[in-house]
Amino acid sequence: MNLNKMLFQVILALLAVFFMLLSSYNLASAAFAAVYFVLIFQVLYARESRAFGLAAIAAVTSLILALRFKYLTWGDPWYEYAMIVRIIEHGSLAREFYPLQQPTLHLGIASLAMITQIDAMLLQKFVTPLISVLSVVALYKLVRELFKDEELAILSGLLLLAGTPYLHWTAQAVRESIGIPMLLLAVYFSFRAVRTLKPQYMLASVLLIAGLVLTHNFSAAVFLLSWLSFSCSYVYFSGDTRASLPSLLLFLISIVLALSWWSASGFYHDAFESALKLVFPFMPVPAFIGTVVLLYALPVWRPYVIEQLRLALQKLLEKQAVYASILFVSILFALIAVNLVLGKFYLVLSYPPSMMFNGFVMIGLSLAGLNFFLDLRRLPVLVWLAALAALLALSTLRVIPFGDPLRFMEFLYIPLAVVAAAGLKRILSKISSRGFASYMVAAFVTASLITSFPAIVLFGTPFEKGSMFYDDRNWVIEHPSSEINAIEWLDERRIVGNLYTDNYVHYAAQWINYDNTVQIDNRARGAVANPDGLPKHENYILITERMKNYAEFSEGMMHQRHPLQEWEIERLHAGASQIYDGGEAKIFYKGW
Amino acid sequence: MQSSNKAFVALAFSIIAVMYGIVYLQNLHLGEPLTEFYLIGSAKGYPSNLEKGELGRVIVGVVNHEFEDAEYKLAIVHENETLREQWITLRNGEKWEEEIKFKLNEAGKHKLEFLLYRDEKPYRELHLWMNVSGYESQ
Repeated sequence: MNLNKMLFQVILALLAVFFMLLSSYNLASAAFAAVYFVLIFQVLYARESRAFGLAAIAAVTSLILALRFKYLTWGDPWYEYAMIVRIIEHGSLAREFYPLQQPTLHLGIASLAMITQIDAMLLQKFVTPLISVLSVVALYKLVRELFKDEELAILSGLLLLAGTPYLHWTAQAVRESIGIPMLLLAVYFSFRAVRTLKPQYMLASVLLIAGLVLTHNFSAAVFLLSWLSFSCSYVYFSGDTRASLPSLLLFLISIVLALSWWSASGFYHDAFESALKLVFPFMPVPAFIGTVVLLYALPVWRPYVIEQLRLALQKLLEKQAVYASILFVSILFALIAVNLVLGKFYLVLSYPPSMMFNGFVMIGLSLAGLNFFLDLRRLPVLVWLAALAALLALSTLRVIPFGDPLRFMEFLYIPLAVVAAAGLKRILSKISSRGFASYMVAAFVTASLITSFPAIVLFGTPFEKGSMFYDDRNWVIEHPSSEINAIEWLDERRIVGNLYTDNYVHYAAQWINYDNTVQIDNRARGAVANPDGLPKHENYILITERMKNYAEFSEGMMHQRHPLQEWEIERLHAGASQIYDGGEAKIFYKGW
Repeated sequence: MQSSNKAFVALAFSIIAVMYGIVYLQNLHLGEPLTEFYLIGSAKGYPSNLEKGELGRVIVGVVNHEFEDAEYKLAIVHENETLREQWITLRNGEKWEEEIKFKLNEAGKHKLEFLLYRDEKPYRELHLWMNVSGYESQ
């Protein structure tokens, strides 16, 4: 451990944080990018304190949105904030006031806010993304444990932290920001437990799994699949049959904890069961658990059969035809994923090509790294990746009913980062200059960060409509002060009744409904165009200037979005009283 | 002091300084300059339905978030007739509220407009729609 090097890394990270804070000025963004690049370069080029440096890069990266914007971004973090406010207001986790029942993040931030008297939103914005640094550290540790390769571990961590979907979910202070690191830590400690058979690792992994179940339903479900695919393939391919029973034990603990909590909290159990029904039509949960028990028991029960299987598989993996087949299937999966993001399936998406930069490079690197994993000791990572990719593909093709397959992406990026890192390492080995190799990787990670987010984040201003870099997301990533002031004004009035607005203001306004007295409805178009058709109640309609350019009502991602038209707004003026004018945000009232 | 201890002390100071800086700058983060202009109804709500001659009440409010002192002119207009004009000067962050009372003596649908001017230019506007019934208020 070199303290001077660590200090240098921290100073660079702090400098990057400082420039990001000032990033609404273009030059500060450029300075941020330059310092960020130097930090990555330094960590790659150095031979000491690299893990510490990796964590410093992950910390700076995770804070990008918190530092750039005054309020929470997008929509989901506001939902989390609404849950935190409910806990603070009522001091209770009763379902009546806290319907989500996934309390780790909400209870943690609410408690911290009450103890420290620091604003809950500020804590949510900064503390939550910082926890996600643990996922990069956990992946680094896991890869080093698996392959005894420091370089591969560093590259895996770097590729994960700069991965577009991963970055999107960890930087925006949501349950995933904690769910992903808990999942990765649970995989790491579970793997250590089955490999070493030490009880302290077993205890740590059980605690982490329990924590994960209480954090995020979907992350917990992905953990079940991740652990099943990874540990089962490890037992089969490594020949380490001692690992079989502890792996099974951890799986059983996980599924019992998850199913118990899902049943008790009244959510998700049905969705999980219906997904299992595709494979096990009768008594899906017992049939699934029974099959898993058999899978883990087989290597203990018939070790010689597994040994024969391993030998046969190793021979098979050496064949060019098998490599070609795996390559073909990988390209097929990649095509499905790319077409999903391009909005070619049922989701109406219009991301700019620049946002795909990281994804395309990751696909290329993964295909380059595929060969490295066609070895029995390394195959479990590929099986883990294949299991998650299969879920993404099946939900995209609507074989599995799942509303938003994009949500698989951030989890898929975990094993993908490892496979891509192997490809990157292979390419870098052809470059003789260590400096140039470090430069290339630092440039890729920096470029990934810049292109992941809409231009407003690092360029300060969005590209014009018509430009190939035009990005709808510029309209909704930031919630302006005018919108927040209007929402706060409604809260101060303690309004009772209906509030009509669009999807993004709907998200940002949810926290004012902590007493269940305001029905917030994202279908404002009907209310705007026909205020006389509103129910005989107190009705408030909140519209912003942004909605004249970009508005999402209840279309979701399934339909084309259309902004509000002038004639609709004129009808609103003619049919409802305007009671608030904050410039960009206006509130109308229709009472009876 | 050993060099490792110095490094730790420097590290701790840098982290504290930046954390303080973050909280300070976050609070300082200005956002867009704006003025809030609003109407608040009475305990019974906004005066949507009145009887002829009945006294209507509403609170008018202005909050200055322009990051500078601002001078406003408030005008209350009914059917192109200005009922009231008033100058309001507010410092940044300052709020002005006043109850406005009015009577409408003709039955029918009425629009009462509240206009806020800044630097002699129309800046914010509000309006209330009211149905006035033909019965004389007691």
